[in-house]
Amino acid sequence: MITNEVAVSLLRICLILVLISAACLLSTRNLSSLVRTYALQSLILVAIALLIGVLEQKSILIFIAILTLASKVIGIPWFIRIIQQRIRIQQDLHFHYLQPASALMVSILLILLVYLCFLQVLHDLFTRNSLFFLGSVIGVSLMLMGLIAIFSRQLAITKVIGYLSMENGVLLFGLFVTELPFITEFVIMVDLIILVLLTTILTVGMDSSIDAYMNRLKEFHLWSEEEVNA
Amino acid sequence: MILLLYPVLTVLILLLQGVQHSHRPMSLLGVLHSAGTLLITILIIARPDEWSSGSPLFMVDHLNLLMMLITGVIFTCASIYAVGYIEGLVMTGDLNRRSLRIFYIGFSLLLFVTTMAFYAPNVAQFWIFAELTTVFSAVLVAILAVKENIDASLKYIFVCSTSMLFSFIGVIFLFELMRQPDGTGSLDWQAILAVASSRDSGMLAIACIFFFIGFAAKSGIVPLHTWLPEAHAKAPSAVSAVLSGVVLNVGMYGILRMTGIVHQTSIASQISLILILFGMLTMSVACFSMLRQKGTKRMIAFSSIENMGFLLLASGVGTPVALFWMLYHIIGHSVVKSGLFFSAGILHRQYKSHTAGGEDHIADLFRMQPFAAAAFIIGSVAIIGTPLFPLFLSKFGILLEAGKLSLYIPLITLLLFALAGAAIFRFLIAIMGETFAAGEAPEQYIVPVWMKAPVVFLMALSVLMGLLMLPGEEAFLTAAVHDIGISGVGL
Repeated sequence: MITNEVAVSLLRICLILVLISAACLLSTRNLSSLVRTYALQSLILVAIALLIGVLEQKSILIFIAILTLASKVIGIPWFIRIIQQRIRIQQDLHFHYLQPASALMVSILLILLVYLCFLQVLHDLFTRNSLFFLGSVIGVSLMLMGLIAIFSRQLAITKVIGYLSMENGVLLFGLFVTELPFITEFVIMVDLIILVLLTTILTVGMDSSIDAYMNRLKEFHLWSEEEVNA
Repeated sequence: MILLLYPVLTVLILLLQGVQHSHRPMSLLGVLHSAGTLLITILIIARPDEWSSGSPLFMVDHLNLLMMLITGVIFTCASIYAVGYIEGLVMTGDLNRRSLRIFYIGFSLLLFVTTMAFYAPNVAQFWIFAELTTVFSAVLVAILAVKENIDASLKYIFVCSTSMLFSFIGVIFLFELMRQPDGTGSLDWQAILAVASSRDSGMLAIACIFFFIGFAAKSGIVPLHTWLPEAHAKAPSAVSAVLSGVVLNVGMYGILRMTGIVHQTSIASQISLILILFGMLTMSVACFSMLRQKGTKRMIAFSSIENMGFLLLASGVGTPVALFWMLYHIIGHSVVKSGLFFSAGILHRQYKSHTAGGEDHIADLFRMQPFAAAAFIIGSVAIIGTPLFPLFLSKFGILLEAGKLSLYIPLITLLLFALAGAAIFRFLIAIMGETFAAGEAPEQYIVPVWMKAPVVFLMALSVLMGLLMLPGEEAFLTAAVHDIGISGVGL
């Protein structure tokens, strides 16, 4: 089995990888690599959940890891990829307000700001376990970077990925700061899946013309089935 | 055990709606669901011994019963209105016949998740159901499947859901704050209220601020209000009324509960200051925006933002008397605002613009739609807080309390109210003076009695509320203020 020291250093590496993936989300123009980056980011989250599970001997984290793997690494990216094929848009070229370079600079400032704020609020956690402190800082930073992605990207489908990345940040923060009862995590996942379904359906309408939208909903069988379930 | 009737009723209605094919039975089922919910709520209010015997999914006290009572009344009116309104939409081809089932199922589910959100015993469950209200109301906004509606609906989801994620961070902070050394902890509203004073106030402040971000977005507080005018203006009027009269209250309810918790600790004055500042900011932005509105429903939507800002101000003032009038204002606002949206819906059916994105051209108002015109004028008079209507009493009460903090608050607020009143009446006078050139007038829209009845009922209810305190109302509201966690002299 993995020893504690190895697990801790692996966790640190994973946290850095999460930040790198967030930076990629802010700057990538190609839609399919955006989705791939998101799936990769979720995979890192799975690894983090497993490593914390090993460190703290909590089986509940294994469940969370499995749930994340099924929904965020496989399910949601698959769904978004289908939508992308239908709308035939491969690239999201334009940025509002912030270009990628300045978005990255703002992100670095935000990470510093979050670090300084949390040093005030969570100093118990900082003295108890600096790794977990780092994790919670990166969780909230990931969330803020997702927020930047939402308002600097133009296509609704890219905004959805920004939103999902924000949600990853919340999950990361939750993993490091405290443990919520499993049922809560589960219901949140279900809620998210509904949200993604709905948003993506609407996205088809936004990113293509409206007549084509009605036809696509029909050939998709979404109009009659999934939306009713939602 | 009565509480379990809510989910049972919902499942029953959803199953029946699943097998219906024509419009009339589906819409009548919707009425049945809302009226049933109202009835169950009244039953629960009548039997206080049942309150504590509910399942772990429910917490019952005066505050959420009050909210449920409003929800029941507004939903019942909206579903009755929808019988006539949605039929009209289908006849003119605005609403695809196949979307009907989605509409009614979405409507029933929205009622159900709102119910569950109000009764939620703990913060996490409240968060989940509040988030679901966004999802289902966004479905209802997008139901017309016009690009503008989908646009408005997307904006609604993005603004609210991203802000709600911040709220979730707040919930995580709260859980960390409440956690015992052995890793267990309770997020129950009452548990938090009981121990809040003994916990680290710095962390509670951070938790509150994060929590407020999401629920401020849900109730349309500036700067997270941008979704509101579009969603409320583009939605079918029956839905707009529910969005304004009920769904905004979900956000306010969250803020109220959190205010109660904050008032147990030493950070109350700082948080109050933030609430008052954002309340004033919201009112200013809304009132100035109202001055340049051309569309009926957008005007009413901005007035909702103004009222939410005023409610936030009242929660910031935070004395028992202010909160008493705040609850009263919530009732009054829901009743009057739904009535306004209903009459605006009639006007919209009559004067619908046929160019995409164009505003309705309203003219010959009293000749073509005397009923809607009269209702709209009475509603406008009521919403700006004229005496005889309930909003006058609550505005008066809250401003008197705010004046004890600083005289500038009532002064500025009164100026803003005057501005809002001027904006509404400038709009009214402008549409009253218009006449159609010969031959240009659209065919007169015959208003079905389904659409008239709720308007008459709501207007009568608001006059009644403004003229006299209903028996037991004062005691009930006082008990609700006590449930928030703020008790003291003055009541």
